[in-house]
Amino acid sequence: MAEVKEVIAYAKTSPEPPASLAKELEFPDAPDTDYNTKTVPDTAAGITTSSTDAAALARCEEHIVGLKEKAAAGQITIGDAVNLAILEEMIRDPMTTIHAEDLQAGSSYDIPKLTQQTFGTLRAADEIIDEGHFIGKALGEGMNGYRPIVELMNTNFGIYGMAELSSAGNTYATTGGQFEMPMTIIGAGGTAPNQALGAEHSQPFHAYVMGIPGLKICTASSPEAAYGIAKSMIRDNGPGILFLPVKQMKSVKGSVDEGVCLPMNKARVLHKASDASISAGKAVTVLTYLHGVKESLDAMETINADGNDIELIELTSLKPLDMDTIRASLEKTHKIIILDESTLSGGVGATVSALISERCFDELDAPVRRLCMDDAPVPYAASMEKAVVKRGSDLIEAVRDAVAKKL
Amino acid sequence: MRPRLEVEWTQIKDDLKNVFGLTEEELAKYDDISKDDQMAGYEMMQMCRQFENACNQAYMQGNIRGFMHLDNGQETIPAFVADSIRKTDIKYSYYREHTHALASGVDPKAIMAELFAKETGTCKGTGGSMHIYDKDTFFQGGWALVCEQLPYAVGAARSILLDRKLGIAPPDDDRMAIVFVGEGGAQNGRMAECLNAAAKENLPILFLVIDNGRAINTYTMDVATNSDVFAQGAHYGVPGVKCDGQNMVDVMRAGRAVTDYVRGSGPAIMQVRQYPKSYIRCRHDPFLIRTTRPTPVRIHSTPRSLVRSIVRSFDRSSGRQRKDR
Repeated sequence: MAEVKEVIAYAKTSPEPPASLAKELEFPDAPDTDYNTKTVPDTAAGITTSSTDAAALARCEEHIVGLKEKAAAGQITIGDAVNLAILEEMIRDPMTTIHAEDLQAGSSYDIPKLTQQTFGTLRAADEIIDEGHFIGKALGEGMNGYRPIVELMNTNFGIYGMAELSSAGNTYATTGGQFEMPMTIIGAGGTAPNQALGAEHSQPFHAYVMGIPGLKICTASSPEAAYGIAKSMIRDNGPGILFLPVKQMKSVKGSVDEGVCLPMNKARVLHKASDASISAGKAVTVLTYLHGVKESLDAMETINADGNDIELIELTSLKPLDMDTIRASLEKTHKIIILDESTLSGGVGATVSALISERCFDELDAPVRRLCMDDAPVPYAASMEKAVVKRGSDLIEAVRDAVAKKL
Repeated sequence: MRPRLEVEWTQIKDDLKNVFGLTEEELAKYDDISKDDQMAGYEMMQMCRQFENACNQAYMQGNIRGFMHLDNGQETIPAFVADSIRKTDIKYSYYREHTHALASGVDPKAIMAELFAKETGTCKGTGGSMHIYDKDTFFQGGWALVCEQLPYAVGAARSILLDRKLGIAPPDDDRMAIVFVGEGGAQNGRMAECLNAAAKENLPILFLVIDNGRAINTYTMDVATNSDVFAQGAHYGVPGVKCDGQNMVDVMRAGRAVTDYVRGSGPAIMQVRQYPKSYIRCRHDPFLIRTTRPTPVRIHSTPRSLVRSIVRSFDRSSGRQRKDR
């Protein structure tokens, strides 16, 4: 057939794509994007008003005011802070949708609270109990102009959606950049010391997804970080997943920087070591995230009593990793410990440790010290669990070892 | 090995009446496929067969690499797609999707260039045979993991309802989503979940089940209790019908009836039973032959030869000279 012959000839004589294309297609929005500069079309406000019940919207605005008051008083929880971010973004951009189990009931931490009552069942959907199913539906929405949010009741359940999550990560690059995938996945998970949630609710899903291409991975252990990163992630045109600490969703209280989107590629320096400890060689850089943040902060008193100090860096951006902040600290301390709630094999700490050794080798006076979970299911009994999951007491010992130059 | 599905159009119409609730009057308009439309169907089938044969040759020559799945013997489906599915309908297919893309209006040059790993390909060479995507024609893949496309298509169908709710849909919007899946792939739990989701929200989605009797290289009946996927919807109130994929006219007739139903009423399943004779199921090594039980040769078992004989009888009766290609 003449036409087919032409088709073959066309294919034969066409040029190959350049090697640089893969890197170019990694993310639709560069890692250093400032999401505060993102705009919505002029039609957005009109679409929101005409498609939402006025009374419901008013109730939602009232709820938002209440949350902001809590935040101003330094009393907003992580769950409420994420709820605030979601409601703001769903009002701002009518193309934003949300999927969750127990959605109309507010799920476990009020993350999707009032979404269905305000925006209706199409935009805010209750889901059957299969994360693969609704992450899959979210992908289809994302392919067609919508901005889906998926709440994982617990990030462990995300395991059911590995195929769909990985395809979401692949979409932009594998379609040659034709289809963006503005999917946001938010969930409480991680492994707090002594949490007694059982092996299947204590798995490091954050470690399992590290290798998914195209997926930005963030963590937050404070309402402020959770709010600001959630807003950015929702506006980001690629897929992102935000991990929150399952045992601190209602206990940790704080504030938010109202209306501000935080960067998705930066770590947070929570505590700087004193100049004296740095010059004395008694300062250690500590990288951690999720429950490890509280463990480290709580251990500070004892560490200081030992005459030591730490530069505490929260890895709010797991991928891409903020090497600049890590390197800046290492240049002062030359010693580094990772308090890591993932396993020895294939864990987050393993990736971070490798990157540090490769890129900051000259700054290291000793190998990277990794305090991570054993390759074992997290046991229920506290007497067993304390050997498997590392905590503040392990950090105190490790800081002593580092300062004493013990490997 | 398995006999051709012997089902008359009258029987299909009965199913459409009893299961879909269509009236005699409504069904009557699907009786006739005009000669022009049949010729268009035949031309699409020819284009698809020639295209796939060219792919096979190109693969042997080393121009196409990796996994390649060809659609020879199943061309009545792209004939139906070209006839009933519109540009703005949202299409989700699997890895054996070249002909679905062609029938959806994706530029054949861009498809072949993609297979040849060229920058002018639909995806700039990033995807290959199993990942054809085209934004303009709403051809949304091209997915390699078996039946992963099912929930994606359900999400796309939701986006149509979302567009209407937000007031941003085109006027008189009767778009639909269509998702292609094998009768083997449809044994996956995703099928049940997606039928549930489609029924629960009354989504405009057609599950087009391509029944070739095999799940990978195994006869489906060796692993599946029930290959009548069209009947799976009964549990959820989703109507389904089965037709003979060797009969292009019936596939087009049933296709028109079912797509009109989906556009106007709700989700549906259409199962098209194929008997692919000379069929390259999965090409990943020209010299590797997977042994399967031998399949007997049947006369008129490929749709093309069937259609050719129908077309010849038209020519004879109308005295028209058909241009030979």
